[in-house]
Amino acid sequence: MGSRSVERPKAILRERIAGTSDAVQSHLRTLEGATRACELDTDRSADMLIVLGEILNNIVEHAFTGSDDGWIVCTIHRHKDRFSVETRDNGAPLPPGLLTAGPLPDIDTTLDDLPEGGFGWFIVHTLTDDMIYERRRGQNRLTFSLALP
Amino acid sequence: MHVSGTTHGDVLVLTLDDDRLDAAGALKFKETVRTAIAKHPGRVALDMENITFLDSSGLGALVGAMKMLGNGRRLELVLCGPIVSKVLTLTRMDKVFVLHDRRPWLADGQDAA
Repeated sequence: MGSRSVERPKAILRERIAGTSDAVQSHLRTLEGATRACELDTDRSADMLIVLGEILNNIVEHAFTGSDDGWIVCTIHRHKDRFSVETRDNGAPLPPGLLTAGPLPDIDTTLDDLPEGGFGWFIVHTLTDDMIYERRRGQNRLTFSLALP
Repeated sequence: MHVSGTTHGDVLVLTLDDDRLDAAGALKFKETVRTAIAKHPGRVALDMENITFLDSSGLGALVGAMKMLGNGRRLELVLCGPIVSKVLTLTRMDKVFVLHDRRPWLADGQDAA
């Protein structure tokens, strides 16, 4: 077997979904089944599900506000040393500030003052290794990867 | 999503009829917990054994549910699986909830199975 075939990325899943939280949930269930069927690294597959849940629900909640024709195309590949994920959507642009690591919300507070949000991008940046964002022709394209052990 | 409650001594144990606590179900979860915990003055535990997925919206809903308890009570989470545990640890919220790796309402020495 030549080295070329070893390094060719393996497509795990490509799916176009509607911009709703129910569609995101269904997509993640499908992806979970696909990672199990391909016998992929269990810990990193779990991390990928966690990250993708945050990214996709962020698109649903913030990019598609007031729009009911939103779509997201999600593509996942396995490379020799990493998973790569691409999302494309037709929603509003992603605020650039979210592309760099944000702080963990302050949890050293009284119970009543505990944060109920603001965890999503912290989780994303903690678990991913790079993130590239492009805005072209009214579409967002976000790519990121998760290194494999 | 529906939450059922059973009482074991002082502890109200809540169980979800869903396997995920995520953006799709977070609001409904908070509503249904609000009803379930009303009139219970003691400890409240959520059985997490069947929950295979938690996202930041689900985490926010857990925090919201804990705030509803009042009187300084902390929500107790029982038998968290790998993804739930990972999300709690990453966000340091494992220090905020009370976590149990067995069902605490079973008497000491009693087989958890």
